Amino acid sequence: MESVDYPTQGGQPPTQAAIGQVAYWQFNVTRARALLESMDAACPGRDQEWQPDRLDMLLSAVRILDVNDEAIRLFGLPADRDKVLDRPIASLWPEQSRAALGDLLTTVAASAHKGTVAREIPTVGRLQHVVLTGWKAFDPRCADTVFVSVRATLNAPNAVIELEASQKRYRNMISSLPIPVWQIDARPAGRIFDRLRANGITDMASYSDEHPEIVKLACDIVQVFDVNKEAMVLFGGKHRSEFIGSVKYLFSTTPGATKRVMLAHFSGVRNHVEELKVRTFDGRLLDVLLLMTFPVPGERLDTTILMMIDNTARLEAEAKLRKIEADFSHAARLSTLGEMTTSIAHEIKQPLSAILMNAQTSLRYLRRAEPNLGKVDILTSRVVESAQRAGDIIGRIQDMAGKREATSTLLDFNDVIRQCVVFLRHESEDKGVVITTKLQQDLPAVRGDRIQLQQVIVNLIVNSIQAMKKAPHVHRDIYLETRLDVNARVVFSIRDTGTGIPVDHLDQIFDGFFTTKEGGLGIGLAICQSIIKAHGGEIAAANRPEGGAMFGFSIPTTAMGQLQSAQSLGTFPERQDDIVPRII
Amino acid sequence: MTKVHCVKVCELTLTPIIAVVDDDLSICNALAELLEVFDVKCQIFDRPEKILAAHTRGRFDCLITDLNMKGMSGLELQEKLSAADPDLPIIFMSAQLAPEAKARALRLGAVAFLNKPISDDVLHGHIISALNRRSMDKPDDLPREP
Repeated sequence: MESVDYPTQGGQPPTQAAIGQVAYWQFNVTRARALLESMDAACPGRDQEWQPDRLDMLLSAVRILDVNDEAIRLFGLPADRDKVLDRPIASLWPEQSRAALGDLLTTVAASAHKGTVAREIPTVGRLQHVVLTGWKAFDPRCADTVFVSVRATLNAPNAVIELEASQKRYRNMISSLPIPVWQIDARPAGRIFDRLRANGITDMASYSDEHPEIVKLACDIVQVFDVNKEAMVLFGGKHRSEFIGSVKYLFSTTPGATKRVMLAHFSGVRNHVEELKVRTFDGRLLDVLLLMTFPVPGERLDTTILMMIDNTARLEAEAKLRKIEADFSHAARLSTLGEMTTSIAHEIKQPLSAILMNAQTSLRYLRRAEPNLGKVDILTSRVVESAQRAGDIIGRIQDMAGKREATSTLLDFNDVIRQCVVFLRHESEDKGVVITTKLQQDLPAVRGDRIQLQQVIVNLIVNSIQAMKKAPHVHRDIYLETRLDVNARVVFSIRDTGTGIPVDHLDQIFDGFFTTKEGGLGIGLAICQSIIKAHGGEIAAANRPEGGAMFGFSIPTTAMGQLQSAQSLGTFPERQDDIVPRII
Repeated sequence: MTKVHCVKVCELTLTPIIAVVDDDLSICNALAELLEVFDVKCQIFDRPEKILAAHTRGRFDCLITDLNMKGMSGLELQEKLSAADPDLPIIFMSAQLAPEAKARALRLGAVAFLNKPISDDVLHGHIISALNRRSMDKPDDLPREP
């Protein structure tokens, strides 16, 4: 493309106005040459009457070589400059001033000197004092190149005031927005994209994989031209100038951000939103939400709005909250384990005793005059068995006692319960409690954290065991049950034959720090509730009419999605009352 | 004195029978092997109810029982067996520190109350003294098990 460099090429070009406010056109008149000369000969005077056909022929023969951005804006040309270039001017020039352009071109073509020719048109639409100025290229090798500048003022004083006011409002709005705002000129990247599209590139993602330099280039040439105060505060900058220039500093801390933004721009979407990490000028690392709005044709294409919402404090608070929850959950597990130390010690001492006895017996056989290696073999195998058993027990306790992050995996819910019963076997036997389970077969899998769900179940069982301390030995029973409800949620229920829940406590038992146990933290059931809620479920408590307490919770299963789609087809009756765990 | 000592040795060579009760089968088996290496015959029971059913006066020369078991504690077993066989020497084992149970067991005539895990030498010593007690106490008119 030939560069548009008017002032040096064009004799005495107008320079008094700011370049940005004058529209410039560059024409090639080669094909119009014959017409221009014949018209010049026929009608040498100014302000001739044009026959419409002749004017059309002339303007159809004049080709556009280049335009500046102001011309695109003022004449409402297609935003894509390449769509303008090499087209005849006929279809793009406004009707009211076509004759004036015809005059101007004819006069410039006829003039021997290199000076400028001007035509003034009183009004064109909303424009007033439209001045067209034309001149030939200074370089004789470009004899057919003609430049035309267009300057104008808006015709109504009100409109001028309105426009100025509107511009002021816009500036004020941006600068006083309580959100950090960057104003960006992304047109240079837009031009590269246009050229790539013209070359048939549609898949920008793979193109930029093959040509990573395009990402870097786009980042370098897209420029910030203004920021508001909030942006300066967010980035800890002192002067606006620090913010002006390549957008690189906004995206460099987040891997891949530049590319994602570029792809969004290329795809022509209106908005792009993503979470970024940014490094401020004073060295802080922030978590922000990036919101970008790309201009669409009809708007000022030179302004892409970029906003950031600082999420650092919120994310920090959330992380702290998660940690506190994890700490509480951990404390509750330790508290439950603490209540079980006697039975834990008992459980571990059993295999240890067997190990010690078998090892001692082995030594006695080995130290005989004729060692009985057959016996030693049997005994050593038993040592191995018991040691594995002890290891398993300690592993289970470590799972419960350890500090850990919650995970989400597919779980066999009945298996989770069976493991709890194994875990509590000694504790329950020790207290003379009989645990009976009735687990529904073939339950769909649940998604969740095994240890957390076990924590809930162990907690409920331990509570029940403790509630039955005063009950006569023959009546210490716990019933565990699982089933699937009509909404495809698994329901777990535990019933005991203990003293039940005092009626005035029923409303508070899931509240934090509510306890009736001496030395109890009062967080066990509160943690149970938060764990079940985190699994998308609900937990409830009640007293049984025949005595004793019952607790139940329900959580969603992987079968729920299928059920919901079946329900929407009307296969299942609509039932909402079963979502809350029902305890029988 | 010397003569009496000889009698004791003779009694031991008659291979006395010891009953072992623990609801943990691995402990039962380990004890059985240890007693075998001591050259003592034994019979194991993984439920206290089973020994109550099998027991007759004078059938066993010593009882080694766990304190905490499903269904019945070692102390209850002691009470029931003492009624039927008041001279039966009993050695208690426990995986828990249970001072009250220990005091009660010893008050009711237990030979020893051992905390798990148990040292073989200590157990051996107590078995010897238990069998000695049994042989001294054993009335002559009671028939021996074959």
